Amino acid sequence: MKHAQYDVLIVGSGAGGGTVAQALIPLVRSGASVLVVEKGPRFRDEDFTGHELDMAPALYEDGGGFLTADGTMTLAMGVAYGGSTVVYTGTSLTVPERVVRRWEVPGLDHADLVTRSEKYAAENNVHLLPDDEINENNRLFVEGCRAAGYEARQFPVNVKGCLGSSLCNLGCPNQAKQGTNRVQLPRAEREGVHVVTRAEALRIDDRAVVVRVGEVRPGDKGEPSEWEPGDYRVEAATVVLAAGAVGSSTLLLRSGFGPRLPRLGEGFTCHPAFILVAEHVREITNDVGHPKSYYLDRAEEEGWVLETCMYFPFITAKNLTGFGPPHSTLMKAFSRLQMILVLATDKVTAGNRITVDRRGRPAVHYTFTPAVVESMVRATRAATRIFFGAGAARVHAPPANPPLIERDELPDLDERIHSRFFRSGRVSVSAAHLMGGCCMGSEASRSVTDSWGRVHGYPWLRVADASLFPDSVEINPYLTIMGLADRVAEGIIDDHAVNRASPREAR
Amino acid sequence: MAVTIVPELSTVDEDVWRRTEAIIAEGLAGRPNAISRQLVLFIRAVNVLALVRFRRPFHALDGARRLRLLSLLENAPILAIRRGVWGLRTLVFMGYYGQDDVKARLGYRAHPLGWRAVRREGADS
Repeated sequence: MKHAQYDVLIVGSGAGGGTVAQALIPLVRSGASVLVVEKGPRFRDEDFTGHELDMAPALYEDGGGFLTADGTMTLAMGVAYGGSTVVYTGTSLTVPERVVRRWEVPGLDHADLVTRSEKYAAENNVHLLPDDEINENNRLFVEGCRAAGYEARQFPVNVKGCLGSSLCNLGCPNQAKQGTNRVQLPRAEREGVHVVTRAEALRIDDRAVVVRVGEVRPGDKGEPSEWEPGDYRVEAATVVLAAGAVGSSTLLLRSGFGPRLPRLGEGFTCHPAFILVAEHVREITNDVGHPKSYYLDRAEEEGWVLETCMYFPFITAKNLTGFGPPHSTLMKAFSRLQMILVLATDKVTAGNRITVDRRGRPAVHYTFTPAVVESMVRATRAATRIFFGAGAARVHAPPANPPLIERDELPDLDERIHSRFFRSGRVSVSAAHLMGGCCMGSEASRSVTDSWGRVHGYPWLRVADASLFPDSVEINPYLTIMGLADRVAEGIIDDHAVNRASPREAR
Repeated sequence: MAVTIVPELSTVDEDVWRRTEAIIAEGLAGRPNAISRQLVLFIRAVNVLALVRFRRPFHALDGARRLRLLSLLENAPILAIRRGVWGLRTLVFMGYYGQDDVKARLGYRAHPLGWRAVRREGADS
């Protein structure tokens, strides 16, 4: 095994890791060494082809098919230089005050978190797209909301030079999306932070992390790793875990931290989501333009959010329920389809957690509670009214049987779309906003870290990603992750200053 | 079974079949071996059920009966059976709808150049 030594080692390069890497530039300027290890590769611009079957296996854990333990939900986790910021749509919201209040984390202040998040929003060019760049799929959502008595809101997005490819979830082919791969990581590297890709953290071993650097396999996209393939023991005075809710929890569990941190892996939650489609009688612009420009937020009142969306043919086919002629007929109407994503803002529930199996692989245990199913059903009814309000001829609703709902069935919506038709394993549900597992709090018996991401009992170890969330964030999470990661970096810089002032207490 | 899930596969040529199979094989190759084993078991179970219910193997049933049987299984009270149907249909959809010419036939026009490509297309026509 080869050896390396750094002052700070960051595991993961997404919204959390990328932010910490950039925020530690002052440390690097003062002579400290900072390393980021990222499991995924560093993609070249030309690697982003926009082809579904080409990109999904390259960009996502398990090709996007990572399943929960009972196999009823797929979890989307980006694996690349930039982590999930490479595959999100760039929708940029700050955390609501009610969420931080409910989290009840001593020392975590909503105003402070929002200020930090807004700093990164400005850095990442977050803005509202002009009206002439909004496609019909999004306009129809706004019209439908108005007709159904709802108020749609426009998503601020973090793009620069967006051509409207609609391919955000497959990695922007035009380098327009301002993820950490485009903003924070390149800046950090220019200032001397080292980033090693194709480098998977296997375990934490007494202030060191064992990292396996992989080689480029035939057909792989992306650059070779910056380091020779092989296993490395990287020693570091400070280790920051930013491998995502599943990745960071798994690494700690696999490394034996469980017995001293009883809440480790617990408190996992997500925003389970499914796609609704509606058929219009004429073609609409749906596969050109930013796919996610508007949303309807009913999280506080009813536990759900609707977002505009546009997915690719295979993903769409998979997400429609059923098969055979009715399914085929709907797919043939692709250019006439309007799409809405239903998300339930699930709260932390006992039993939903992350564990590791005998081989150290993550197992995510998640059950759809009756409350979540009811939220999704209510959201589906609302979305159906929105579709019809926008002039759709028929709507495909997964929690309905048969799933195709005609306009003249509107009065019977409460009966047609019902929780008794929501059968896990039949309805395709996926989640991209994965949260919890290393939640913040004040005591080790009830949390894993303090409000600055420092792991209880391990002052040299910090967490800086969505695993810190004590409960659902109820919005798209990346700006909140960046805000928290900024705090983590500040804590590291403060520690460093203290250690330099009192060298005997260092480490 | 693939034809029951995607009816278009009953009329496609050998090339489309080959591509469908190749995409499915590649998709499975990247997944744990257990997935392939479970899939084989599930397909065998569907054949046994077809024999029990209709006294014929699945492939010898007419289209309506195949559809009815798979629909019954999709709504089965046992999660493992519903998951089996979900996995099977996911693979078939990937094999068929993952093909570029199939996407084009559906009218899917997403292009890396986005609006520019649409405007260029409009100007050309």
